[in-house]
Amino acid sequence: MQASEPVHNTPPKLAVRFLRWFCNERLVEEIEGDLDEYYQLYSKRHPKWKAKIYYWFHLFSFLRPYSLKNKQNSKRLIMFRNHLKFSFRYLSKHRTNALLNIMSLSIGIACFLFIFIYLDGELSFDKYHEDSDRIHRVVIDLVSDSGRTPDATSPPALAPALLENIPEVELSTRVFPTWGSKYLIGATQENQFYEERIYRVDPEFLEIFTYKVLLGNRDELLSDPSNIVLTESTAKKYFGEGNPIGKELTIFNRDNRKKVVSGVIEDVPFNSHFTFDFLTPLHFADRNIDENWGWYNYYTYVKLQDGSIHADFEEKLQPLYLANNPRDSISPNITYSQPVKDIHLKSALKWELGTNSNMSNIKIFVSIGLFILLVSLINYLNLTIGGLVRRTKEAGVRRSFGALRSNLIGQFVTESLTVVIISLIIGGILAEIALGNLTEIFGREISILDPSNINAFLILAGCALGFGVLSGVYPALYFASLGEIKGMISKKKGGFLDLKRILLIAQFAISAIMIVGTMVVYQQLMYFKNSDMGFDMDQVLIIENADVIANQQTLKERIDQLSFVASAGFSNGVVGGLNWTFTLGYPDGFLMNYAVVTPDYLEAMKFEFVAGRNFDASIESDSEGLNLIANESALKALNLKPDQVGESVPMRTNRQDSLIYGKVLGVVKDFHYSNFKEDIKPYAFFYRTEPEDNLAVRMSSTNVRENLEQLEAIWNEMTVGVPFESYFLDQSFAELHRTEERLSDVMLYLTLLSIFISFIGMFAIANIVIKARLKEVAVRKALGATTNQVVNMFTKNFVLLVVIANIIGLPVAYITMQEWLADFSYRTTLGPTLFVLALILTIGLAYLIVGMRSFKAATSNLTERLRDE
Amino acid sequence: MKGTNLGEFEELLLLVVASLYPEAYGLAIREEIKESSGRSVAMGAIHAALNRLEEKEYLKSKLAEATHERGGRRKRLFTITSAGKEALENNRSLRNNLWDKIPQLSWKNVQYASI
Repeated sequence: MQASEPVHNTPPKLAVRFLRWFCNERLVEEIEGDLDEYYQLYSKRHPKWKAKIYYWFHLFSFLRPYSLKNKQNSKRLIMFRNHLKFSFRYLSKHRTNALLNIMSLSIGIACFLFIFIYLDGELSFDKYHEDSDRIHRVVIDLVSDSGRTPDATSPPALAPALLENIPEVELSTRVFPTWGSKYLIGATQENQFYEERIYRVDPEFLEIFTYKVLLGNRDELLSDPSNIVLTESTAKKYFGEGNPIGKELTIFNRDNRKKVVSGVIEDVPFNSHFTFDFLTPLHFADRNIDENWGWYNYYTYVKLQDGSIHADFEEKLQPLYLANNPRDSISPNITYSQPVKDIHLKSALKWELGTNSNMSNIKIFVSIGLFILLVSLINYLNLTIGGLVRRTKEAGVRRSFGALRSNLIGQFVTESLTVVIISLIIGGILAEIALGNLTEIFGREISILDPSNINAFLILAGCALGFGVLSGVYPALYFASLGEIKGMISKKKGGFLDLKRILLIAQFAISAIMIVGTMVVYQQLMYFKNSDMGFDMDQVLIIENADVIANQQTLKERIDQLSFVASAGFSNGVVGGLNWTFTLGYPDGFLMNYAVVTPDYLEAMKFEFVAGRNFDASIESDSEGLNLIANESALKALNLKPDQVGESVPMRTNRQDSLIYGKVLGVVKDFHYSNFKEDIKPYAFFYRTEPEDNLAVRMSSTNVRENLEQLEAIWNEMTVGVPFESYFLDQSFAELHRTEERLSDVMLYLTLLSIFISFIGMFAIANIVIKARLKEVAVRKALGATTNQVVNMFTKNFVLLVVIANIIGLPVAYITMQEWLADFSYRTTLGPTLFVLALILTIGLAYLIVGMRSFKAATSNLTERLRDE
Repeated sequence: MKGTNLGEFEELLLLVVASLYPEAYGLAIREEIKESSGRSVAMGAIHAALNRLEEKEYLKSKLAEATHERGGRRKRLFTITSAGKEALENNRSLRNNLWDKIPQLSWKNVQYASI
């Protein structure tokens, strides 16, 4: 062989297999050879996909009788062509019907595909790890007098204790996230970024979670405290295309620690309940955390031994906890485990590592998907059945010319398959377009061309084709059973009409449910948006990492001087984000949420005072620690009346069991600092003079870009190379309601579609009914009926159907949506307006559509109709 | 007899096969047709026609040695038979005869291009 031998491009494998399957053995070798040579020629000059398409094209051109394996097929082939010809003739003769049928079926298919793929992604969470069913998270619910607070975190001593004391545990690891603080990390002085997706973990982390290691030795990635592991895209961000192994990253803080990159792993897939960019070994030089049962800020994961029984493991958890926390024995915290695969869908604890999905939203999506598919299938059935009435004659003629039962089946199946296949293709294209445009709603990119999603399409195609065959076979058998003569003379409309009515009612009931559902979700969303938050979040900019500037007073003074700044103040937490908690109250303690702030912060955020006063920087005792400003819930929890503001009250005991007194300086109105699913809990503000990390700036003018530039200029003057990071408070609040917002968006689109499909169906049925009675209309008109009377004759039946559908659908909608709303602590009420609106909307549309069609029939040329025959 | 008449496409194929001798096989024939007449024909159509011509015994074929660019698969080389040559000649003489019979007058009113 020669050294300069050209590359051999492999033609599409599926195509070659297909060729071998159908092609005559005598010819297959030369044909395959010719096609292969053609492919080589073509793929040199053209892009690969083009070459592939042409390959397929030429392959199909070989589908001729002479090249087929079994020459006897050709008779069938001829019949098939004949069936196909008749199908197209029939479809083009009843163009409106066929078009409506294909349109509604393809929309249904598109919706179903769309939702199936979304759901497939949701159900795949955390299943990509090896032995993912053996991985569990151990969590501890906190129990106090006020009840049980589900909590995802656990103390650092838990993981080592589990490994040591429970034989079922094979591996355990802790995960210690950054808890909202950001670290400035850089490979060089110029190339720095703020990062918070850093996990400090035990070395076993990578044994339990089997991410692909792209560079580095798996066993040594986390072996040394100075190691740091990057994900692929993070490695690119800092080091470009070069090999980062052994290079240094500096974490810029007090001691500018350096970390050595020991490995690169794949990016964390979207279907993970947590996500990170950096992994580094969990290591404290100055203390041992392995015995610490008091800090609840770690996450604990275990992998069980192969073959061990989960229940055996589970029952050992609580005793282990109690053995190590004997003081808790009266109302102990509760320890249990969760399978890692279920976390995304089922777990809704406090302090989850990421935003989890929830089952009820997924159920809503799935039922909507099925609804829409159902609605479009009903359309399909209705249109097909409706069409059958006028085909009895045709079937009779076919039979009397000697068509066998199998011929009839062939004809009807070919016809229904033609419609189904065309719809599948259009539906696939529609779904792809929809998925491409709705990335925002789903929070990730999805394409049905993705190899993992091809299955979804194949399953659906299988079902649809099966359905197509059935809906062809059934009428064929029906007609065959009628016999020749009966078929031709039969004028009977058959039991079909009743079925048609029931199907229409079902369709409209579904539409009514969806209309109400969408309106309720939207109304709840509006309720969030319009309700009084207890403070004013518009026009408030939060500047992060303000604690890098040692002299915060100067920063504030300079910012206050800007003309567009109304007020500005510091805090160590952001309302709507993370906040700190501690136990307060005497004699009964309760959990108090709190933030440390400066006095002007409360002004900048416009909290409404109901009693007392704000902190005062000139009063020294204000910043002493137990003087606080409470919200109304906290005041209640402290057992205080508003007139006790300013008095000394016992707050808690210290180590010597003597009481510590504190003072409530002021009370602000209850405000929403979390999403609407949670009650407003006690919240307090404290004042201290040390640097805090967030600066809230209230702006009075709306020229956002220019304002930001001026703020950034000040920032850059006062820092060296630290990026300016800021966001608007209303945006971060919108984030809290993203799930509901997405749901409302998706439901709106899907409801519009389902209404659209239902009315296509209604229009088509009306079309069939009216066409069949055109002569009757003409006679009625000739005898003096007015157009109005004729229109009423048709519409009254359809409107009645819609009313029945509403009577069935609206109560269902009411119950379902009540249940959905029950999840929210603060919710809108379901008024009768919604239901009346849904009723009017559906009836109105039905009246409009049937009315228009029948008006056209009533005003068309009567003599034409009567002359006919 | 029905089988003795050559269609236009069949005639073209026979001519190309003859002109490509001894290297006339499916793809080469397609490329040649594309080059000389500008017609892009599906390969299945060419194969079908070649097959038909072989059945009519205007062509004969044998499998050649395998080559690399075909992934080691043999090609079928076509050559024209005496019957095929005869059919081509019949076609040609028929046309020539007709051409000769055209009186010059009949060209008079034919304009080659209308402006």
